[in-house]
Amino acid sequence: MKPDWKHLLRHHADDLPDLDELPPEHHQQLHDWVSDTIRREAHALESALESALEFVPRLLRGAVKKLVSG
Amino acid sequence: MRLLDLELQAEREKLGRLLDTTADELQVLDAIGVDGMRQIRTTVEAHIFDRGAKRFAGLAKSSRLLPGKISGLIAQRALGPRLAAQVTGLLEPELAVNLSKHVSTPFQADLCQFLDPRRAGPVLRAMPVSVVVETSRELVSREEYITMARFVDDLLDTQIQAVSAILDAEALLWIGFYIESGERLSQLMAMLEDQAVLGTMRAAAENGWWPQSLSIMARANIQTARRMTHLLADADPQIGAGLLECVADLGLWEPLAEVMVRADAEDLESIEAALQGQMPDAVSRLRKTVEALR
Repeated sequence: MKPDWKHLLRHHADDLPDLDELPPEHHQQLHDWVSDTIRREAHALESALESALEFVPRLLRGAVKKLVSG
Repeated sequence: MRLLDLELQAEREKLGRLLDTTADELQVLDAIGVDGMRQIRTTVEAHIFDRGAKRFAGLAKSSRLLPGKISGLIAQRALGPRLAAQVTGLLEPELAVNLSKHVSTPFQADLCQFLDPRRAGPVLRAMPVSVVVETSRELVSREEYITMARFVDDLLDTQIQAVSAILDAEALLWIGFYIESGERLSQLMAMLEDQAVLGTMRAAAENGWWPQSLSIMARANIQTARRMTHLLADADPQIGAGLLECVADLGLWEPLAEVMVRADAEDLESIEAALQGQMPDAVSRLRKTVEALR
């Protein structure tokens, strides 16, 4: 059975073709690449936001924190 | 080797950069073709952007509260080029132009590697030509031709013309090869002087990069293909000889014929006549392959 990597991309994957040309092991490889990329990017964003606040003058830090916390 | 192999390699490199893997590793995806890989790349990019969208928007808004110098420090030292690129497209163009004064040219070049030009169009077009040219100079020094090609669709013609003026033939050839849109590729080629276009073919002859040059001729519109074959017909026959040698070595007869069938008949005859004495077999093969396509 081929791993379902498209669910990682949620609605963005709606228009992606099924890629039936690929054997299951390559779907697995794609799953690993995509999930690692999503995880890596999320982690990078969290750490970057923490360090960004260190550069913000103390008086403005609360306002900026509020803006970036989404 | 087929032109498709070169296009696959270009797409593997772009996808590899996103997935943090090598183009070689991505050969396992060759079966889905260039379009399949491109769809995966754009889908993953869209998903990552949407996941962080609120935070990127917050960062863009917060830059209104902060002096440009501090925003520049945050971009360079906290966010880094990949995340700063996500925020860039959300900045008001005026703010982005001001911020560009507070970040180094190497950082801007780093950022360009991750910037999605479709999202950052207004910001890119607001950038002063001097900033675009300096950043391009840095990208050329790194041979970041894939990155530069991605911007051709979204920059203003005036910005592109200024950048074209600083590009050598090698850079023009590679950037042309990596541009995805055949229409924009044709527009770029139309902006270049004959000498610059011929220069790309000289660079192809000197470095064995005819597959890249053929790919440009094949994907560009018929006017561009005709202009390039016309320049080839008028050029030193050694350039044409190099083309035929490369085509024979790599088995690129069909792609060559696809280009030559679009050439003006007089130019094709002139190329064949110039090379007939030197390479009769290759000229005969070229004639036959072109005839088969007519």
